[in-house]
Amino acid sequence: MAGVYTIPPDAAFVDTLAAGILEEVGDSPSGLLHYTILLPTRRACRALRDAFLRAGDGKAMLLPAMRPLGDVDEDEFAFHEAPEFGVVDLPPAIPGMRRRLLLARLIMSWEREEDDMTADQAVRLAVELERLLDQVQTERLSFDGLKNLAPDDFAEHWQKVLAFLAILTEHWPAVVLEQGGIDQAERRNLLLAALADLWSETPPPGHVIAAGSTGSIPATADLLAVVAAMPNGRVVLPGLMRETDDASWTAIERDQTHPQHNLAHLMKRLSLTPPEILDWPGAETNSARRKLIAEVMRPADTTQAWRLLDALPADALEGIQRIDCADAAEEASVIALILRHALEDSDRTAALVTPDRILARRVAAELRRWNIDIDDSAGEPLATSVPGSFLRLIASMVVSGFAPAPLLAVLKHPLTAGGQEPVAFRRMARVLERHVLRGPRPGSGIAGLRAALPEDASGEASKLGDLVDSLEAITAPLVAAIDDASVSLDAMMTAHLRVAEALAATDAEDGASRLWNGDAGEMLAQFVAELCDAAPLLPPVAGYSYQALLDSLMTGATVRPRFGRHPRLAILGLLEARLQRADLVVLGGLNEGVWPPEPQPDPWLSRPMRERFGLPLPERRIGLTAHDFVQAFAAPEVVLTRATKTDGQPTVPSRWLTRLDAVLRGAGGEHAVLPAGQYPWRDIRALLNKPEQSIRITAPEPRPPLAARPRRLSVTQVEAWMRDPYAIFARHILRLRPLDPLDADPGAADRGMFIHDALDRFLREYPETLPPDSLDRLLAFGEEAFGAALVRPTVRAFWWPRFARIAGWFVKQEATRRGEIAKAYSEAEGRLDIASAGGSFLLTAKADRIDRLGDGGYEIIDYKTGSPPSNTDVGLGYAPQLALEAVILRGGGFKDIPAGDVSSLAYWQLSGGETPATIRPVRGDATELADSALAGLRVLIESFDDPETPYAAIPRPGRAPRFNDYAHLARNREWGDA
Amino acid sequence: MTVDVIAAASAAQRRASHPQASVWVAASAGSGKTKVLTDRVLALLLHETRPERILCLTFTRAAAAEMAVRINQRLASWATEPDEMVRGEIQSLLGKMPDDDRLDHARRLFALVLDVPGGLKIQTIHSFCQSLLARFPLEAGIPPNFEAMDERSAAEMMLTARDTVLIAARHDRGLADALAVVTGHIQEEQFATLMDRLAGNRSRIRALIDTYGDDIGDEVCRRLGAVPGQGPQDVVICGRAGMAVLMSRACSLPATRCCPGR
Repeated sequence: MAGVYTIPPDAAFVDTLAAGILEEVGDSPSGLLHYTILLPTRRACRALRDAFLRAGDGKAMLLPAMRPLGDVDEDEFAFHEAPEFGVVDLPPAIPGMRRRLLLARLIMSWEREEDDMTADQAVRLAVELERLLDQVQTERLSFDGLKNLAPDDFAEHWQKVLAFLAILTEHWPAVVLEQGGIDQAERRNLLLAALADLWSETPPPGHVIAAGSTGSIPATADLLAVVAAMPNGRVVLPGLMRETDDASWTAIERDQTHPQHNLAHLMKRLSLTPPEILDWPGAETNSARRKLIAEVMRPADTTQAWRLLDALPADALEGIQRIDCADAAEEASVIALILRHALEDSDRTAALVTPDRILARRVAAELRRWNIDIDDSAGEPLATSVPGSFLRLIASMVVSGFAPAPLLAVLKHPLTAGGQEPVAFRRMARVLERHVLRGPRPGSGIAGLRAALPEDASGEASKLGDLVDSLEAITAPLVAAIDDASVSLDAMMTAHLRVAEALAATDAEDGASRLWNGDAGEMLAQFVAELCDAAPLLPPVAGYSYQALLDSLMTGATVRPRFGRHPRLAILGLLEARLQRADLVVLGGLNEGVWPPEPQPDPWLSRPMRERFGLPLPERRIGLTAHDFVQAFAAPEVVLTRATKTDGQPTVPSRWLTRLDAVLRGAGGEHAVLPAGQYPWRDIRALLNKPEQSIRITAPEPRPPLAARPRRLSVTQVEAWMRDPYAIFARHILRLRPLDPLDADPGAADRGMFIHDALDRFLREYPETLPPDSLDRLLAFGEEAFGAALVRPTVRAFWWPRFARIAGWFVKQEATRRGEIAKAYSEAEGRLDIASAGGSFLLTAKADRIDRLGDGGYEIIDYKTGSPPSNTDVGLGYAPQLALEAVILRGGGFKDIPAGDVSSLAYWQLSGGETPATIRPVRGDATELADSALAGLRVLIESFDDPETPYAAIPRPGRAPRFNDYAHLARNREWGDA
Repeated sequence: MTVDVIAAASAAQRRASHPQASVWVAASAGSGKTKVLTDRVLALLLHETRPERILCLTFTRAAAAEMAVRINQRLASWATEPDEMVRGEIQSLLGKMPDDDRLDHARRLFALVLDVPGGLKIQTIHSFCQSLLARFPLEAGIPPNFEAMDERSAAEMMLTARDTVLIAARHDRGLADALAVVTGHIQEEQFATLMDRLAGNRSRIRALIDTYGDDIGDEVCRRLGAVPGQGPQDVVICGRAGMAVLMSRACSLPATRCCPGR
């Protein structure tokens, strides 16, 4: 009865265990009550409970006591797992957050040569110190051993690290004592030791079974030894492979990357050899699969045996499929297809096991294609969960001074409602976006937002003031806290939470019930509660560092869904998959660096130092994941998947896949290659995304009715009409205007506008004679014209000096020019009616500048801050602006300017560089240009008066406009090579 | 004739892959440079160098992955192929027939390398440097578990830094003067590129400033063979046109007087 057993990897662990126990108990209804079962984690306890219920066929039963041992290794932040035994009175464990802040406080007060450490850097260092502390305590080592670890050559550099680690070695124990608690790992050790002592003296009545632990934690191994020695005690090891030969076992004891390494150590501890371990009754056997696994996992020292492999048994490869996908997206789709297909059988279960949480999330998303709602049992980081991100985004919004992007991120967050009805609130947020947040960034803070509100707003925009007011009121506490140069974390958090709850409130429901709702909300509440409890420990911090501090405190916190959502499908991480079994198991992400994971470099000790000190090497992690691999790989039906490229970079396949290949090649013959699966999943996936029908996009040719076609255009729009009629269609008939990007930097167009504006103001003020201080006046007008934009650093640094140079040139130019001209008209507005068959057409213009010359003629001038059109373009009529202005001027169409002949046209190129400006006169006779421009315009009008004429997009690619707002709308890239 | 060429090439490759020679190899694409590298690693392994003592640095992740896969493939074939074939391959690598011990060792290399602690180190230079920094965070003065910024974050931060400096220039006379000199020469769009380049070389520039201090202008002149106090128009940069452009860019002087071809 007593003794050490094993359940082989190909058996479903908890089901086999439950079946065996039920068999022993027989028909007695209360028989199970005499059993105490120790399992590694709470999740394992739940799994065993479910197995009992399954085996009992839904019959009501009194279940045995199932207790977790808190058997999780240090790399998982699963420290809410603790052994549950009321054996001995121990001080409570110091809660995780409290410990982190205590360590951070010690770190911040540590003497440093460099500048002071900020709180969030201290927290990140504290996380690493925690890890070291946990490891040292779990292995039951003493920090005294640290002093002599470094060989003499490195002694000096080691002293620095040692001095830092004095935080742990000297100061921390005192802090622990003062807090009246103990470290969690230490507590676990003491509990397990106390239990072991108690039981070795007085074994408990009834049966005790310790199942599923590999004894990687020394304290657990001791307890297992005690249980194994008890007359009524049994230990059940998970997945011992008997097929391993003796030579291999010797090698395995030295090789930490081997899946059986921990078991080998445990057996040594229990003073047992593999043949002395018994088989748990009732384990199904798939010896062919086990043989294969044993060969694949052969330790390096004995791999010569691969050449001597006999052919594998015929069914060794049955049920194994390997799919190498092109990239992560394909891998996720293929896995989703496989899982979906498993559901076709009415009682089949299937699971994806992978350490890659991104793959898991992708697969969950793909499954929604078939309306399958499934959780990743390994959970998601708290920081990216809905309530967690809500909290962080609020902090980021306030720290950034309500900058457009962070502000919008909060306003559009699913939880935000600002005390109003959510739909109405979201609509107002969109109005705010359109009117205020697009285009140049408003000034900082709520004041800046308010200043940027449109003055004469109508309709919905008039309620923006209320929105801003309510935002101000809600966020006031946090704004005040963050502005503070020195504020306690406590006060900051209180303000933050108040703001969060106020923002999350709707008109019907209060914020707290929305925010702390669901798995993620509860986890967040727990996190916040722990943090608020521990917050007074930190010294006051600068307000603006709050966001970084919050982020660093949230590292490692995960939201694990409490109940699996789907009855037959599961997405599991390695920890969650332990001891579980499904009919079909997909092992995903089998690349080096993912599964097995990349060993994390230790920031404190080098590898030889770790080894000498007695700490487990980073490779042990690989060994643990190898054991998980073996357990999953032994499922009856298994699919191995990987992506050959991630992020465009080629990947290296997992070492176990490489080993499998080598074994298959060594076995040779028909076993040299895995059999193709039943379905070609990659091809099916390609079909899935194939459209039923492909439509080729051709150039758009809208032919709106005559009534809709514009009968009035400006001279610049006439140019667009010629180069790209589609733009006219989009702008004047569809009435679409492009939206400014969020938080737009002022662009070249704005720069042009400012300069035009400044020159215009100057000319209006002095149309005939110049003042003595022209330059100063012009610069003053410039400041007015630039206005608020001057606040922006790049504008002040780059555009203003340009304008200053242009101004200098301009006043000099004017000084000489005024001798030749009688009057200068600036920004003159003109119009001309052109009669045509389809009705009158109105041509409008706003000329930058018209100068009346001494001889009664006119010169029309256009300022260009970029490059002006070439003379060829003007000659061919593709830049008709000035010519058409001449036409209007001839007809007396300009307000307050008497009709007259135009003697010349010119572009003034105002670049503001080393040569501030150049005058480029237009070549050719102005009257002729005007005539041909008018003729061309008439032709254009007539042709578009025919309802069959389409507003085509870019009819002549060589003459495409330089800036095209509607290129995307016209889908130019899809049909043309524009 | 062809056989001689091939034999000569193979001999050259074997010389290059001999583990005891420090070698610089220059060859055109597709001529077998990666093979020389993998042969070198394999030769080292055959000579019983512990795999964890080998470090291969490449420029791209693709190259690193390719090397890793190739080495694994060769080692896998040695693990399972018949004796004669493996002996033959080892001979062509080491230049002499292997004895039984070496043959056994070659067979075991596959799993040995797969399981080596830390993996056979074939990394990009960037990831090697990153892992080094991760091992010594205290000494490097950076937080452990740092992540290298991606390009977008770096660009955003550069914009923020630029704005900070431009705002500071309004209050700081010296900074404003310096800025005026710069903006006089370049456009706004080029400013971003200039800042990126300066930031990329900041440790060297800092070292220069630390060494020369305020005399850095004089030092630049001295290196150009000019007299301190002369302006750019007084400096004649001789040499081929390309060299002149290069030098002028390095010294941020306009490439005024060049004497191409002299």
